[in-house]
Amino acid sequence: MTAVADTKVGEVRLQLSDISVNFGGVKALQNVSLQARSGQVTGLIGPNGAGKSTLLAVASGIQRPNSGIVRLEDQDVTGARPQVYAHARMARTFQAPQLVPDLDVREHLVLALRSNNHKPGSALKSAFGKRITTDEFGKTEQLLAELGLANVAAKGVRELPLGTRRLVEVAQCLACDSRTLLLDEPTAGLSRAETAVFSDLVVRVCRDRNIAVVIVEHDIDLVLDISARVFVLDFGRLIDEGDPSHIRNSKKVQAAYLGTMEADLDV
Amino acid sequence: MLSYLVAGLVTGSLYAIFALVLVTTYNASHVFNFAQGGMAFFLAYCFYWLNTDVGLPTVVSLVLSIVVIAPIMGWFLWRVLLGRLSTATPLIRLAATIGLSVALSAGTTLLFGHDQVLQPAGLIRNVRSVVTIAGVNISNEQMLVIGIALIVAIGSFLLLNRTAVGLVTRGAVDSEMMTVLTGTNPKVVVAGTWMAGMSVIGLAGILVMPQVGLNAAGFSSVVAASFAGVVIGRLTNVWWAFGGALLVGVLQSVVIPYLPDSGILTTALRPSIPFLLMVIAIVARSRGAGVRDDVASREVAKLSSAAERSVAHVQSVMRGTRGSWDRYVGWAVLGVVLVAVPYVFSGFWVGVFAVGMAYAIALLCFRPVTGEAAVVGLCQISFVGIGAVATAQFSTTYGLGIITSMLLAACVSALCGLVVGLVCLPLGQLYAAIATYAFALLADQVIFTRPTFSNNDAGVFVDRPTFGGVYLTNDQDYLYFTVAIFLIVALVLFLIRRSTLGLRFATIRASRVRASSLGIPIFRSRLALFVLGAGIAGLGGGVIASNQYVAFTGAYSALLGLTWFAVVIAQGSSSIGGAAVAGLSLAVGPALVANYLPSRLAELPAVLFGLLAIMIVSNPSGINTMMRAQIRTLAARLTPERKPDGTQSPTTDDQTAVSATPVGSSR
Repeated sequence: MTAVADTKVGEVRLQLSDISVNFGGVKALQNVSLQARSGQVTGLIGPNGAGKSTLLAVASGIQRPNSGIVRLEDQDVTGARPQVYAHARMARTFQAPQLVPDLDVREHLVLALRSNNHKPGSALKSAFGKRITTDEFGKTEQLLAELGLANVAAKGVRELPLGTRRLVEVAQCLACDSRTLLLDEPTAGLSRAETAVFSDLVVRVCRDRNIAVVIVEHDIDLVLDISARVFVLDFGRLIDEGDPSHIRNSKKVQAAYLGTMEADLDV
Repeated sequence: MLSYLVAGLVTGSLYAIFALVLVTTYNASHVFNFAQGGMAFFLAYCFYWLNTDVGLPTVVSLVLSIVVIAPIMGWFLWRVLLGRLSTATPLIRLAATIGLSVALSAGTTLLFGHDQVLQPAGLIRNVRSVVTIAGVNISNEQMLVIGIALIVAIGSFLLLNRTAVGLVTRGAVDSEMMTVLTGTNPKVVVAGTWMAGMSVIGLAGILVMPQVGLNAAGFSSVVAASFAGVVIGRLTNVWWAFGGALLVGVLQSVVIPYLPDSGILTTALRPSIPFLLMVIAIVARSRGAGVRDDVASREVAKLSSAAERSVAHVQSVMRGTRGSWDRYVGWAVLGVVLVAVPYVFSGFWVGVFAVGMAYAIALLCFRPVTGEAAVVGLCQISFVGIGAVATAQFSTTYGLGIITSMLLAACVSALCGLVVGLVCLPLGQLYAAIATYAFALLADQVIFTRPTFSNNDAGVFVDRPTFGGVYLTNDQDYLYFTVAIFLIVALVLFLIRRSTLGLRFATIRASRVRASSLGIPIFRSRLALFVLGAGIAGLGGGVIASNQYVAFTGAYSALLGLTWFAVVIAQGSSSIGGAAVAGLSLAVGPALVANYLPSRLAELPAVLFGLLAIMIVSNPSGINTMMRAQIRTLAARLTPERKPDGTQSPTTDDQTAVSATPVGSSR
């Protein structure tokens, strides 16, 4: 689980070009483009129904775009199955953490560690002998410590509070050795203190591992604090993009949030 | 030709009535009523009993059956079972109505006696031609059937699309709370739909009775044929369902003049038309929403349902019990029983236990298929039958060794599993269940009726194997042989679960999107499980056939497959010990009744199997897990100073229920 040192900071990992998605007559996304660079947090904000989650679904292969191109690193993955995205080392979390009630926290990580092993026979690994090898145990220990999950390693995920479950999902993404990480409203439902811990963690992981992080959030302050670049969606269209200071002063963005932004931004 | 068309329209109208009731009740409750055949059978028998045995006039019998008994039955079933299903998972919904179907069919025979009535009098005693169109005489009975089908079609359409009732039922399915807020009580409406539906089912049963006779199998096959219409109507469209059902009836009839005098086409084509159409319709329409098992269109159970709370409760009790002592209680009991059988019981019962363990091997196939891949596989019994038939062919016809034949037969079954899996696995759970049932019915008609396999219904001889130098003619030796094979298959399944594949399957069960975003190949993984299940079923078929010295194709009918499914699901489909108990109860239950109870109670085990499957509504984890949870609770109560940390308390339970609620839900 070493940091990805073979690429330089700031290279484009995820490139969405002119993405459009229609659900029947509803145009969920219209010609939206977005780039995410390694070692940086890219923010994606917008009012309810702006199309943020749809864009994330397109970026992770769960939703096929009606038009547009998705590139991961240098590979065109438009229209491919989500598995292809995963093999191109893209990982994502979900608004409602999608964890496995039958497995404990460590098993979640072990599964993710093995997810990049496509050798024949790897599927039957640990059918005999130890369930978790010493090497895997070491790697999971390191990751659990890094995310502050060491004391819940053996717990079933049903027993964990929401914030911890979100961390487990992030840990699982990191265990896949992902180079691009999508976070879908990771702090929804978390307390202020939990949010602070989480945002520190995202920044640290992004920097240390040189991962491209895309974060979709309702908490605009959080996004503007940690992102290097922010994209703003409204009614399926990209209405603005730029660094946080630009977004703070953008009239278009303020209009999109119908003035409620102003109060937030003036603080 | 025209006369065939008219005859086809009449048969099609009968299918159509059943199809329309299914569509209407499905619209009202999202419960696909597998028990419709059993319901129709019961109500038709009520009519027959009142009319013929009690001697009431036809009209009085009819009114009592469909205006008094049917609505009461509809209300009762809604109250105790059907009304509780709308919030259950699709698997539980299916399992419960399949259990109900098994219990009702067997219960009717239990109640009214065994004598098969081959040509019961229907509504019209005096069948005569009333109209002649283009030289074709149409009888009053045929007119009645077609007329009622038309009335039911128009009635269903108006009810669902033009009345407030339809609006409320459809609203209640999507959001009961919203419907309540509009000032209507959706429960009354849904219960009313079931009551009215039951009356129509009863009427259809009485109409179909003179044609198929009073036997459960006949009713089930008519209702199964009507599924084709339902599928063509995509479960919800009244007119498509009506037209589809008519088409099935007409096709079945108009092909008659073109069939050769003998051969497979003559015997198998007509009865298999509905199921062929069903498969074609499912595959052809599988692009539509709800049919395919898309990530987006998966049905998810509401977490607030009683069933989910029960699961949460059992899980909270069982938490951290991996490798704990109570896990071994069941195994220890089973082991003692199996070892003690030859020393305690007579030779007859040793034989019964050997049959039971042979069944148990076959039933292990439900663990990969239903327990892991979450497919309601209703054609598992066909794979067992294919295994039995193939073992007989390889060993008796081609002279191969018995054990070699069994293994080859397992491969043949697995191959059939591959074909069925390729068609069924991309479908959603309900469609997959219907499609597998269609395959089972097709196998009944096309494979098991072949003279080579059925040997004029006498079956093909299969010898017992020689194993380790011992020719296993002794039932005791055969019992140990079956136990050994059971343990080997169980070990394979156990090793798969603890391997990486096991972790992957757990993830696929919990969340398809998560699994796909981790790069897990979902379709391939599930297909592998399905093929493995078919292989295990085939192996079990060989062992069963060899135990009984005969591969008897009549023993593997789709209808019996529903009973098998009910027995397994009641034990918990992913439980290995459960498969052993299920297999043994399939053999021991009927043997006990046959030996110690009067013969009119022969259907008692089937009724019990059905009722146990219905219990899954309140215990979705199955009897085994529930009993283990109870043992743990009891043990914790007896030793209060050493409470296991998973001891259930109200707060833990609440937290579990709440924390399992998805973010953004309305709770």
